[in-house]
Amino acid sequence: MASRKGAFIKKAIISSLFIAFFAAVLIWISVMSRSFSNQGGDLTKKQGFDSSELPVHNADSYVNKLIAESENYRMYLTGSNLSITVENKHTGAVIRSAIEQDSSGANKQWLGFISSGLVLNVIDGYNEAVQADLINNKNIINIEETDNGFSADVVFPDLGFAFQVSVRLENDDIVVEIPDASIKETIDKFRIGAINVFPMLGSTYLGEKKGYMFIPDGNGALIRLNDKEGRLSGGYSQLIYGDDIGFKDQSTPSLLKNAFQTVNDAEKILAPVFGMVHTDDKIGFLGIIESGAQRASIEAYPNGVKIAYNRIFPKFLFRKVFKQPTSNRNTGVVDDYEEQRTHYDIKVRYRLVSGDNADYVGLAVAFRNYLLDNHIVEKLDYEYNTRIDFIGVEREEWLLSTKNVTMTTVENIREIYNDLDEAGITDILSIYKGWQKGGVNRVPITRYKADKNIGGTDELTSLIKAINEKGRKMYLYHDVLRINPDEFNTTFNVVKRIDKRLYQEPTYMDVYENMLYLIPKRTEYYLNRLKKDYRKAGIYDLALAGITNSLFTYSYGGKEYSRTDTYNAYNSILANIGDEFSLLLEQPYMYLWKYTDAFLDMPVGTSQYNFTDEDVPFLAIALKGIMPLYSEYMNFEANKQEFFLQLIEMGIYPSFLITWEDSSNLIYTNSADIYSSKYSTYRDDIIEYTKALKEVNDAVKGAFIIDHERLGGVTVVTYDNGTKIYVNYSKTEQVVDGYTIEPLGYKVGE
Amino acid sequence: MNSGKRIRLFALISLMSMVISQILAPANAHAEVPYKTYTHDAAGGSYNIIETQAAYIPGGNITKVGETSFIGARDMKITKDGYIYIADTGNRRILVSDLQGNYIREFGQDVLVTPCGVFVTEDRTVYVADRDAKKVFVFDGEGNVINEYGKPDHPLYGNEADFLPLKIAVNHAGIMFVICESNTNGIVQISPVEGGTFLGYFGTNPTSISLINIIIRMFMTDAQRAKMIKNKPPTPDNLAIDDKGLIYTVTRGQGYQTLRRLNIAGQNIMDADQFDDTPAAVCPGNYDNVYMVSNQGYVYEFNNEGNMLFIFGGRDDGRQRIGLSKRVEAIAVDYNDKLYILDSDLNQIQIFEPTEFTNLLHKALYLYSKGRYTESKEPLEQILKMNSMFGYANKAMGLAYLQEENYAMAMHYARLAADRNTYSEAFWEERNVWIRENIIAAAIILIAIYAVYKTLQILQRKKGIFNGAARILTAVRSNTLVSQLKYAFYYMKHPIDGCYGVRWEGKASYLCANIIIMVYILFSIINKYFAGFLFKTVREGRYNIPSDIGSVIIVFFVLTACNYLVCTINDGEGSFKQIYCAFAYCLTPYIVLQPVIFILSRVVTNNERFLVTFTKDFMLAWIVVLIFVTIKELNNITVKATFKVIFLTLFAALIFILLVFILYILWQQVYEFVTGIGGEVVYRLGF
Repeated sequence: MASRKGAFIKKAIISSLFIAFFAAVLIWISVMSRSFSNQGGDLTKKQGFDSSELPVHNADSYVNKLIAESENYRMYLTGSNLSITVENKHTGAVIRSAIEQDSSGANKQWLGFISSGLVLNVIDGYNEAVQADLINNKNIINIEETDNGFSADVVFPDLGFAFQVSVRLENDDIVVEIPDASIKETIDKFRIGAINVFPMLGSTYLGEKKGYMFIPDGNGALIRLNDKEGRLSGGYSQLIYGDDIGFKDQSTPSLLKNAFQTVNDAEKILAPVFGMVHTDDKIGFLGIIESGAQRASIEAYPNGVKIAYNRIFPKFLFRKVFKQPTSNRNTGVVDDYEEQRTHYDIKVRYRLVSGDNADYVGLAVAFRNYLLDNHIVEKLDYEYNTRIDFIGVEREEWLLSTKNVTMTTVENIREIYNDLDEAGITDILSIYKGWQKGGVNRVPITRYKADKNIGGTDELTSLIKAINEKGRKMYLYHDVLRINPDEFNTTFNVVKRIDKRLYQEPTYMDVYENMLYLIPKRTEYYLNRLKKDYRKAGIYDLALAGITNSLFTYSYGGKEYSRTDTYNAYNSILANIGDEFSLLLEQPYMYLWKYTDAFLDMPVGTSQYNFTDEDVPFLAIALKGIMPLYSEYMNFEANKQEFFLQLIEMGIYPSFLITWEDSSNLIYTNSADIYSSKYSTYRDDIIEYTKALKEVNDAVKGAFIIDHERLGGVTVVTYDNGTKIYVNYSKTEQVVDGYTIEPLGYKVGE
Repeated sequence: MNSGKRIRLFALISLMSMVISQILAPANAHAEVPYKTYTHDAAGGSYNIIETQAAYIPGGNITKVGETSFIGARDMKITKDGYIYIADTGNRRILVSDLQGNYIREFGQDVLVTPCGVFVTEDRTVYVADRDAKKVFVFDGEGNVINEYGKPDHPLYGNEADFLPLKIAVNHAGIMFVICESNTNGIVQISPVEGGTFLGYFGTNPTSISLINIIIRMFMTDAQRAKMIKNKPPTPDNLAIDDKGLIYTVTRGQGYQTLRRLNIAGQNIMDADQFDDTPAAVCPGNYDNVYMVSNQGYVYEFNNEGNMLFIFGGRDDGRQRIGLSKRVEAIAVDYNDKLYILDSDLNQIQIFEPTEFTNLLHKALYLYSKGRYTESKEPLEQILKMNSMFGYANKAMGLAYLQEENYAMAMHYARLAADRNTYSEAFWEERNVWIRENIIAAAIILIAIYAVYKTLQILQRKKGIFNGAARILTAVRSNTLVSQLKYAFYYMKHPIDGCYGVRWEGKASYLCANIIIMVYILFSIINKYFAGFLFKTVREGRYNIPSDIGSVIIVFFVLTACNYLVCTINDGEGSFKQIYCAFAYCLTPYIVLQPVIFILSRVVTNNERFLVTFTKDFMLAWIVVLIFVTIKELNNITVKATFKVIFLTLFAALIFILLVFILYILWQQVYEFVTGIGGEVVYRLGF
């Protein structure tokens, strides 16, 4: 008996050893296969550079040497750390890209950071937090002078990196370029995570200079260059064109009652710009990222955050380390990094401003000129309109599935139009949401098929035709990014994160708890199908959302797609559909501005970071006069009067979200956050706002903003046709330029 | 006199600086605040938390008082004339500033050790609770110590209890209410007479013990019980006092009674309908409202009945947005309804300004609290225009209309607000009106029906016009299924005979039993979702039919199966089919009485509520008796054995559930393991 038991144990041990051995072999094979693939199957590939490949280091002969000159500026170069100094020839004001003499007592690493023209973030194994700069790391720099600047081959022999950077002075612009093709990574252990370009350009020490940094948060915000006395612990670090949903957010949000996300999302960067202005020297620059913005971030840190300098710069990301879960419940994770570098050329244009232009208005005007000169947008000829969006159908839970909640039918819209007509309001542009069969959240829309409850497809077509006949437009709303997993089969064609896990966007609502994202190819497929339907129906006005302000890394079918891929895909999708249809894009990113008839949901404020000191209407100044700007919905504003004044100040047109039925009908739907929208409640507001805003905007029709000033409680906006608009935000009557402006009122003057 | 002048001077200066600052303050754009604001869609028992317009927007902050900053400050009070008193714990002093953060004075550096709580009376006497000095210090307006109170020397205070004052409030009579660290007896009440007389403990929180704890304690030895954490009531963590002398307390980890308003006897007289797990502070507002703030930075505003009006704010979590907090210690409100929130981690006081929306609400609150309901309708209407689902506004509208005797509107708003009391009252009135208007018509109709019935009866007797129908009826009745269904009603009245019929006469079939169960499910669903508003237990618009059906079926099957198994080993004689069918028959009272209850629920008000509850109880009792008799008779066992069988059945069901649960967990583990390995392999091979 005992021996039999012993034999059994023996057997068990042997078999378990076998299994363990087998597993070990398996893991070994897999690890090997991975390293094979890393080396492109070439085991004998050499690491690093041969000495014959290396360029000649000639940088040390450049010490503050004049290297380029234009009408207004001179550029000097110090080769050893690739730092430049730009001087205004007339005023002598300078902007430097490196700190020459540190007086803050920064440590070695920070000294390297503040003294280098370029700083790299290196991924060493799986460690992301390694810095490579031109002071602390061995480097070879070969400088070649060009017509109006220089070009440098930079090599980090120990890290195996090489790339070429060129800097040119073109009139008032400094242009910095690093072509993708020139970037080399030759040692497996080290990879380039990110490149920080001129991280200290225009930086100042504590409160030594007056001025501000401009960050593209919301409509625009300023961080003043005063001494922050160590109060701030962080600065601005945001990915241009929004966070990447392809990477899992590591922080778990603290929710109220474990269910409510109480913090509003921060505003996304809509345009890849940043700025620095020294108001006492009257010099500054607007940084515009011409290439590479799809995966770059704007970094702005006031003094006291790590070091005592105010600094703002772009950071170009190439790779990230992420956590790869090995089980479904995140019990096991391993570190991994992106196999492929995101490919793009780096190109930053620093447009210098001096004299009276050295303020945020100057930056915004410079941006507008840049946009128009480079045909990124064309000036549209447009009229004032009030935007009225309608919600057709939503869904709530009912017995075994869901049922329609009809909010606004075609007939209702007709009635609303007639009613407003009678009241003398004809300047209306509208968007119809939730017109499709199954309502707002039955996305994607795959066919032109209206819900029966709003009157059906034919009714809808005839409504649109009737509206068009009167010279107005109604756009049908399409979210072409999201797909509702409760209504559609989502086994294929949906976006997975870089860790190959399905991306789910929580709605924090009850009926549909999550939404998924369609891969760009699928979006294109559906849009092509819709195009045919619309052509047949004779409808040519579409409002698009979702892809207009999303950019992400994703994996699908075992392949990884970068933000560059998404960027190119969306660009071509919109170029394609924009040829034939007239489009309205919801809060579009800059690279899509050329496709839209108007800017929807223009942010009026900012994210209100605790390190910003003032909100400025940067985007409004840049875009007013180019295309119509429409605000976010007024329904949800707690301070209506103040919001109204802001619209006047910024030249933004109002938007309303309207339903015929009472919004309380929406309480059990996914649109429960629409708590006020009934037409009868907003009728008077629409009439009043339209009358007032039309009058103001007709006075400045087609004109550009050339100045914007805050005098105490009164803001004065000057247009290039001579019109001045005075807005009084204070609770007392104010007198400016001989005009008396009522408390919380406004005045149009000359 | 002198001090009076001084006060007036201070007030004047502060007023002037207020005006100046308002003029100079640059207009900051606040289109979107960093946090969302929530309210209830209903003020009654069943509510949702819904989003609403921003109630308060961040309006600057105070990081420095003059040139000096505060470190780890633990408490703050704002006086009616506009001064902030900060217990600057890290710097061992009391710091006084105006509402803009301008330095006024500081005091107490030489006596204070760890000032944790501060209170200022109307005559500017300052009380400071100092934990490590183990004393309460009293300062006059100039900052001189005029009194100090140490540990009360009183047998009731307890010798073991230490005196570590954390927070303090003082009423008009000068009686101090002190919260002490590690003193679980309650708030220490000290009268100023004779150098501090201990008056007793006040406002002790109720202890709560869960059923599980009771069971666990039952099986413990005395020694084990002694080792267990004592079930002591949690002490309040912070307190505040309002003009009427009512004390507000907040207590951590208390579930629904986080916020309490205590009357003079120490009893809670407010039923706050929202709670927070980590409340930090409380302060009464200017409109009989009250603010509570959590450690995380969520600010709650309640009306005087404890209806939640707003929640807003939130945790910073590295987001660095204005209006979010890291570690909140105190909240205060000034005469302009601005809120001040003290954060000891960020070392700042964040100021929040009420929006136009909130000002409207406060106006309504004020009128409403003064009983001017009709006047309050105007601001309420504007609020509802901005948010038609705002629960409190709907409730107040309902009351206003009720007072105006506009019952239909009152019912409309009360229903929106899920305010059952108002609804019931309005409904009562409305029903009265209806009855008055329709009683004659009803009587006529009744008489007419009776007349028709009588005529038909006579016609039938004379001419037999219904003979055809009667024949069909007899045919239907003779159908087996119909007779079986009919038998259910017989069974209901005569369970003992009924059991005999089921056992020996084949008076039951699976089909018939299933029909009864189906009808039961149907009725229960109808009742659940369509009962009268006053008796509905689920939220309007919420449906969960699959689980309703599933739960009935699962419970019925599990209990029947368990009962059958238990009976067979206890010499029971019933077969499974018999037990199944008989149990289904036991549900007949529900089928008979539930429609009655359903109709009643739609016509009675709270006054006649007992009609519904009584019928319900009666029905339940009937079903229980039927089940008992069924088990006994079907298995032919004694009463004692029946009890045993019932107990064992329940036990078996419990074991069954446990088994399913364990299997589920194990299976989950296996699944996780296999997918984990799969994931690892796939990942390592790099597919």
